[in-house]
Amino acid sequence: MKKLSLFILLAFCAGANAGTAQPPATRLLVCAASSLKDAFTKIGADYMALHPDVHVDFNFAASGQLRFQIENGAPADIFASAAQADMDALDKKELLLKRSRKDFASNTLVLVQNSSSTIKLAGPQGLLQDPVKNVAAGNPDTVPAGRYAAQAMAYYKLSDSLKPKLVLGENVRQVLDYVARGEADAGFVFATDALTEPKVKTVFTVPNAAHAPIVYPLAIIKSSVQPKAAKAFEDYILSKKGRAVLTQYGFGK
Amino acid sequence: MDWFPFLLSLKVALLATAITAAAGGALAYWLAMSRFKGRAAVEALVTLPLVLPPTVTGYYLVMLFGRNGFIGAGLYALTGRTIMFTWWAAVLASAVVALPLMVKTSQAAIEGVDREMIDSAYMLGYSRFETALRVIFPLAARGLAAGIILSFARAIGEFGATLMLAGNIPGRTNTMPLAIYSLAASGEWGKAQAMVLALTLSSFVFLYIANRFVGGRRK
Amino acid sequence: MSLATRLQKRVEGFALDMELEAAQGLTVLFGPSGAGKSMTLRLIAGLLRPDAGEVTLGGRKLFSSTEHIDITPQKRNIGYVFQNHALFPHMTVVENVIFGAKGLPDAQARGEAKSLLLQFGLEAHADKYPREISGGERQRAAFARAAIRRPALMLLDEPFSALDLKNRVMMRGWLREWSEKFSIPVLCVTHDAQDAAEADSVIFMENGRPAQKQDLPVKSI
Repeated sequence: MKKLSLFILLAFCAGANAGTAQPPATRLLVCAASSLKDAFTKIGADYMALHPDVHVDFNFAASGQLRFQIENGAPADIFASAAQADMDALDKKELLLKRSRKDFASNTLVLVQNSSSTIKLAGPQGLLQDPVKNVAAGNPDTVPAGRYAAQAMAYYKLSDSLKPKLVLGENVRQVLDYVARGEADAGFVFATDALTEPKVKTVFTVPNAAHAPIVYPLAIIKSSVQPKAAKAFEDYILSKKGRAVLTQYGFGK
Repeated sequence: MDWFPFLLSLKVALLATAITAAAGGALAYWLAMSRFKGRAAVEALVTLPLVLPPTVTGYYLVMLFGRNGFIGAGLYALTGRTIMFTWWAAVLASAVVALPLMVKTSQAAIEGVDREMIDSAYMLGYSRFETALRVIFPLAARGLAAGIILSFARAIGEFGATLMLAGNIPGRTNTMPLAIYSLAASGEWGKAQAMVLALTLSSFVFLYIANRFVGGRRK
Repeated sequence: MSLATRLQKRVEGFALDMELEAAQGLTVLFGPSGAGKSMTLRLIAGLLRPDAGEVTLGGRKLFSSTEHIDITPQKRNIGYVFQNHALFPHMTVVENVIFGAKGLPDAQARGEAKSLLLQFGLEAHADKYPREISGGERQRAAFARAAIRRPALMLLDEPFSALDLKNRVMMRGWLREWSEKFSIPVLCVTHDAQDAAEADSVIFMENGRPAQKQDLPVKSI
């Protein structure tokens, strides 16, 4: 029995090592907001197919957390945020490569419901009715989608009345998930997120006037050890091919 | 199923457990055998990761090991590299959150060793180190083993601190808990379930074997 | 080869101030519970540090507060048998005894252990574990372990207190015989007057200090 267990242990160790062999010459690390996950993964795959000597890794998390990690010296090459505020913070600390900051996409905020929900929501005021028990939105402290949602609620003058029903998610995917699983009766997410989840339906689109412009900036981190390769990838994202993918996933210009 | 997170989790957990076992064992010995002024403070510090939410532990680790951090700066000056966003960061995060479990369990076990046995070894000419190796640790073995098993269990399920320090980088640092979270968050339930099953089964098998291994000493 | 010591130690409201000498043969340190007898042994052994004093063994200074000498217990060459024998449960009797032969080459250690076990009547129990033998046998095994390296002094802390009357009587006789054979001081701590009766010399102790001589039962022949 003892010998068998020891053997299994060693086998796992050997196997574990095999799984982490290192590939090509140039490695880039892109820290991107969670809402960019699907679009960027595709863009990355396309780029790597075109440039076999480059490997692009992604770290998807809430923009606020990514900002914290980069501020503390995380070795990222590119940062793509879902809000200007996080990029501004890094800019102020002079952590960005000069003139590399570009707005590359825009998004719209929508209210979604679970596809099989029977609650009728004609407009934002519909959220006040009794059958609506929980409304999900991102945490405004760290999630850009949450900030825009808070602004929208203020615009509709619903901030105080919706407070007791508010459920905060730690990233926009979590908010989407809450609605998809029926934990929340409605939720504020980006149009791009709503597209990815068949279990939710878009109820209405929040007009641009209700919040700050939802514009996604990206920039190269000053301490990047591959600034040239980073610039090449940034250019690709901004190119026709890159934009095509972004449009495909519901992002605006 | 993508097997990378599975193999990575095993590698990270085993390595983290090995580090925690060695460091925790030594720390437990020191705390059990010495009487010094700051002892209670050290004990409280070691127990801290058990009490704090893992995300907060991760926050402190980033402050310490980030490029401008207390330890990270020195590391960077020496090697030109940072530990953040590497799989070693996952090992470090897991080792830190598992440490209190190892220390608390081992310390109790070592304190339970009869003082007369330790003194007998000293009188027979054995140095403190030799006595620790040949008398104290064998007599405390059951407790030490329990500590190691608990450490492994904690390490393999580590999420919050790992996310902060190592990032969630597919193909590089996405351990099972991170991968499952990502899949669930993007609605890929089928894939998430497959991983959950793999993690649960392998953890169960490992723990079962480990417990048998320890129990094998009993008559 | 004799022991001479002056010891002072203060712990938590208890003050110890002892002076004693022990020559070759069996010396008993006698007194009631709480007199500080065990503490005295620990101070002589170096397991506890005196506040002030001296410990000299066979002319060799083991401790001196004035000359700043404090030899570690490991290097004092003193054999110590604890009250509860303290045999290692994870080793057999013979392994325990061989453990005491630190520094001796393997073959020699095994040889010495075998001969000691024979002398102490334990050869039949060599490969048994401590939990498998009787209290008296365990005490003798602990003795063998402490004696195998021919220490310059033997310290025994209430060696027979955990034994029943029959075993006590037997062990007393055995200790008597044995200390006659070895030509080193054997300092035995006890609160049992019958144990004291077997000794060549008795030191009385009470409340951390030397005490008045008392009447003891006549030594058995």
